[in-house]
Amino acid sequence: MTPEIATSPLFWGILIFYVSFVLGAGLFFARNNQSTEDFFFGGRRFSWWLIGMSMLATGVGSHSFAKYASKGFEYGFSSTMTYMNDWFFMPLLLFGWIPIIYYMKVNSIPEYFERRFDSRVRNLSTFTMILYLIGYIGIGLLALGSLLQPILGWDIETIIVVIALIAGIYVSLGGQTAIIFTDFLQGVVLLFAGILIFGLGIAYLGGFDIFWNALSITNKLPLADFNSPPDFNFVGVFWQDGVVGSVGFAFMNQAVIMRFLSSRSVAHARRATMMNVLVFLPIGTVAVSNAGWVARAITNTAPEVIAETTNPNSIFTVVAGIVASSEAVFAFLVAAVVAALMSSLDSQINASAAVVVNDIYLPRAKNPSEKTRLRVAMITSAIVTVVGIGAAFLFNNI
Amino acid sequence: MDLFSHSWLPFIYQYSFGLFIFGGGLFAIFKAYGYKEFWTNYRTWIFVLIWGFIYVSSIHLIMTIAALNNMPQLYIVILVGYLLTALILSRYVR
Repeated sequence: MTPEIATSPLFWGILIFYVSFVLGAGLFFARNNQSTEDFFFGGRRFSWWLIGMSMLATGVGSHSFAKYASKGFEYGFSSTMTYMNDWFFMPLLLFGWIPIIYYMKVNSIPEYFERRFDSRVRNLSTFTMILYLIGYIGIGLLALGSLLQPILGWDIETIIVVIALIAGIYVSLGGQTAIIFTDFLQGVVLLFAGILIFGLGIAYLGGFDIFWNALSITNKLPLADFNSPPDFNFVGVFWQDGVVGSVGFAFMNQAVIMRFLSSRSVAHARRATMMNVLVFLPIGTVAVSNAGWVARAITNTAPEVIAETTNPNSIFTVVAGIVASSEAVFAFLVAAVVAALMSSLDSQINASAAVVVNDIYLPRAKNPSEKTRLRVAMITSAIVTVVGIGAAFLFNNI
Repeated sequence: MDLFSHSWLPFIYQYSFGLFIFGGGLFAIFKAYGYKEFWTNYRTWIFVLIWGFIYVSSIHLIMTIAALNNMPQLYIVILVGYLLTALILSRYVR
């Protein structure tokens, strides 16, 4: 099923305005880059609220709108599990890992591994980190392409190229400062859009009581069934995501580490992390999941509107098309999905470039000037963008 | 319908292992910083860490009770708790 609202010049106007605004804002900050310290860490001057919101925007990718809305449609409120089990590691993160990497003044995870172990571990870590980041970029682009393809009517590969180039341009020129400021804007947009679609969905159904009563008890439970089904059970999600995923993302993801290192101080990095987990993520999980809950309620009460057989992966756009009261609102919701992708994509591009420059180029270069380093960092960002597009094409054809 | 494996079993499992991981982390940082120094210098943060654990587990607890007993009004408690937590953490934790 495709959304009922057809795209018109108004829809395109809003979407183009939004993307141009983000691009312009990103380019505006390009003038601040005088060194790789600026380009990768924004001069290490940011306050907790900017860092916290940009961490949220980095964590919430366009695949989040597809994945968690899909899980919300299939299983209900337990789609929130993934975002609500990060607190267990906070003592070690806030008072162990963050002070260690901040005061060691490392620029990347591989660099930490060399200081802790030796250069072989650094090389291995560099290789796996780049592989992970490029894969992350490719999957994010492919998810966005799949999500937008039925709405825009373009082929997936065109969408991937257009979005990647926009993000690639402002990251390659603007660096971390552009990322943090645009992520703040995009984080606000995606949270607001997520809450808006929930409100519109409740209004469409006729009120919260109808929404609540349309869901089964199991739809309303916050944790999944203990050991079934195989693709979404509690034990699997807890260990795969709550334990391994949380540690991997918060401790070992270069993009997240660069947020900590861009903070004004360790205290600001701690506050940003605390606010992200306790305040921003709970809204974030509602924002990315609720289209699925609304769809489930509609299916249970009016299966002729959303059929049980609807593809769960397209449920976000289906619900957005049904509940959006006007084309402007629909365009805004689509812009939020684009925002989610770009805010993850930009961080991963910058992180990949940081690893390449810090762990491959600098150990082999003969004391390059700061100007040369900055130029290499910008060129590397552009190359990473192109490689990410290639990865997305590859995944699309597998 | 027996909902234990969908409600209280995962809750008990998550917060038993969670308490083990969280408590282990807290113990490790107390040992690393020194008990007295950590308590003296980071008292507010210790309360924040413990509050965070209680707060997240309470959200799951209330959601489970609300689902099993058909009490959507309990979500108001979650909302109020959320707003107070956001306000206090943003204003008073440095």
